[in-house]
Amino acid sequence: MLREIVAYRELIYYFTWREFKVRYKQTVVGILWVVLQPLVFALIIDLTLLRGHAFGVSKLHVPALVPVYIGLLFWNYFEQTTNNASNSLIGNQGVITKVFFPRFIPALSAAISSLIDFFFASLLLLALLPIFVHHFSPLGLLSLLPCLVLLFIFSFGFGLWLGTLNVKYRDLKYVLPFVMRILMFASPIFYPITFLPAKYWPILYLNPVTSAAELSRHFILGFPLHEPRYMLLSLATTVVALVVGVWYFHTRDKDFVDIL
Amino acid sequence: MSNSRKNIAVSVNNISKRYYIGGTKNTNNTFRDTLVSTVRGALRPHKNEEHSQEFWALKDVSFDVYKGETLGIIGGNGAGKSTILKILSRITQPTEGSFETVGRVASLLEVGTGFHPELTGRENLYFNGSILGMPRKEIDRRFNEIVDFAEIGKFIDTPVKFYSSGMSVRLGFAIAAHLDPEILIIDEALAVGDVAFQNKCIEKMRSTARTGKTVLFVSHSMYIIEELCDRVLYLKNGKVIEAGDPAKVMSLYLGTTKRDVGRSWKPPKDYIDKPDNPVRPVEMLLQTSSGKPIGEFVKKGDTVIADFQIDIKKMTSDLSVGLSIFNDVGVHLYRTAVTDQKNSTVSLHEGRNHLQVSLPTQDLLDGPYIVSLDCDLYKKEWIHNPYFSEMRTRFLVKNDGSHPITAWDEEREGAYKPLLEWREV
Repeated sequence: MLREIVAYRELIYYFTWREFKVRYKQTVVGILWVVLQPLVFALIIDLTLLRGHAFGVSKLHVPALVPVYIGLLFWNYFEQTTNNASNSLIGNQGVITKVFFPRFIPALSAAISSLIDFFFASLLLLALLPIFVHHFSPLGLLSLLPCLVLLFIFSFGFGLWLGTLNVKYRDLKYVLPFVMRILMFASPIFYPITFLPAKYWPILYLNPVTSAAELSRHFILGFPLHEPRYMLLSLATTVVALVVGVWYFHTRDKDFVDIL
Repeated sequence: MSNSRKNIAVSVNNISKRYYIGGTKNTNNTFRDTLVSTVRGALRPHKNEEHSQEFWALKDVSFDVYKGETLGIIGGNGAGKSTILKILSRITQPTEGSFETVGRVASLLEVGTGFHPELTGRENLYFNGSILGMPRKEIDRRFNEIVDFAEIGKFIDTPVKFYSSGMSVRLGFAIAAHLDPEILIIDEALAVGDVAFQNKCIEKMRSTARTGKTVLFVSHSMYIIEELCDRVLYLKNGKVIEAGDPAKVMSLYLGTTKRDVGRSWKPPKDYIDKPDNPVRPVEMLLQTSSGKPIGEFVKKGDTVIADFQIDIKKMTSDLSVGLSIFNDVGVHLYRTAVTDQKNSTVSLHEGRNHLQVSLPTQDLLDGPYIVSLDCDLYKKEWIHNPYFSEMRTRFLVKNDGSHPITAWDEEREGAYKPLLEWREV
């Protein structure tokens, strides 16, 4: 797979570029949408659900808007990549049945093109921080990177697995949004992890999005880290997702064109 | 030995390809089906895999293509032409057997693969070129050339959704024509666009073939096959029937001489129709104007009535049903279709259709003629290509001297022999 990535790097670039272009071509606000959507959502959570609640850490005087926005940043990356990757084989069947290229490329491109969205959305974070947070760590922003790498691998593996399943089981598209909704509520995106008793934390940490959100909140905003050892669970999930995704894809790669 | 092996560009060894009619092995396409059949399987074992039927699209196919050679592949419906191209393009894998290619392969099974309507011509050009294997630098370098060839001009920065179908086809072909592989695999991509552009495409193909590239292509046009190919491979029901000199294979194919084409047609025992074919031929009979079966000869000037039945499994508004007439040497004289007449009383419908058409003979030369079923989805795809249609009959025209035209030159050049009025001025 690695060798194919190198050999087909230009095609990966064009797939990514096409996916990105097509996504914002017909929207009025274009790329602004990437920023607007999590911002509005975070604002709504702040104003309604949390009603100015300090997101579990009152002494830091950080409005909930900011940590929720950080959580959404990662969540959106994960959700968008998984959705697009799970649709990458079916959605490109016109191309896949007519020309040869490694079939994991559209899924990989989905993971890459979502990075661009992540980048723009994190620009807004840069703007939010000085406005709402007195003491934040600019250096802590670097923690976004390893978190993103983790999610990149996780989402790609998970999405590739779903995408391969999707070729055979077409009703996956009805199941996936439901699963994603559950996963979203089962991650501390718009509530602090301390909302739940500590015995549930390992379950939350099974989702790498939890680690990403918690780590970034810690390094950027100075929130305390709870039970960082559980992050190994996130790491394990990521490895399993990648291995299973790639393995399952390879076992089906031979014959799914005949089913498409 | 070693020397001749060295000159081989594509080597196909005993390739077979199996499909399952009606989807996959277990035909479970949803979680629900899987669940249901698992439960059912547990309750009633041995009932599962029976309803899926095997279908061998290719059976033990072997051939070699030499470097610089242009190989044409012909065959009827379900002969396996597209399957072999898909395997050689690495899109699908053979069930059995193996193949080898030497050199960079580009395949063109469709013009404009992956065009996105929202993107501009320029953007699509880059994406399509890249997916067909053209490096970015190469696209940059040949960009203007491609745009010129496509005759797109200033519309290159317009989204493709605003293009006419002719324009996107031209752009698609222009990109393909500028690929620079050592082995080029083409399916039917030629018969596109208006006549002028078609000629341009053929000219391009010709020059590509001349530059020493190895070309494999499936075409329905006998004319193009004869013109461009060094060798022709004739497939039938997934097997190689003959490979060799185009004229020889073609005449074998058209089988006008002694083969099994008779005055009536019924599906032979080994007849296999593509499972998804919307039109199934049932029977054809050639009759005299009084409704009797024609004899060994048809008197020049007498009408031949082609009486045939087909089952339409899926009726669509663009379905066109007709007949094609060929002469002895495979020249396509004409096509005639149900929809030719403005106020035709024939209305095609799903199920059995019984049709008749009168074929005039007064302008035909003496000799045998082939009547072949001819169905297509208007300007989209063949259902029964007249060249390859299984349903074909034959009649023999003979001037017994009663026809006003002089009988002395049966062997005259040309396909027609009309009786025209001559005068001196």
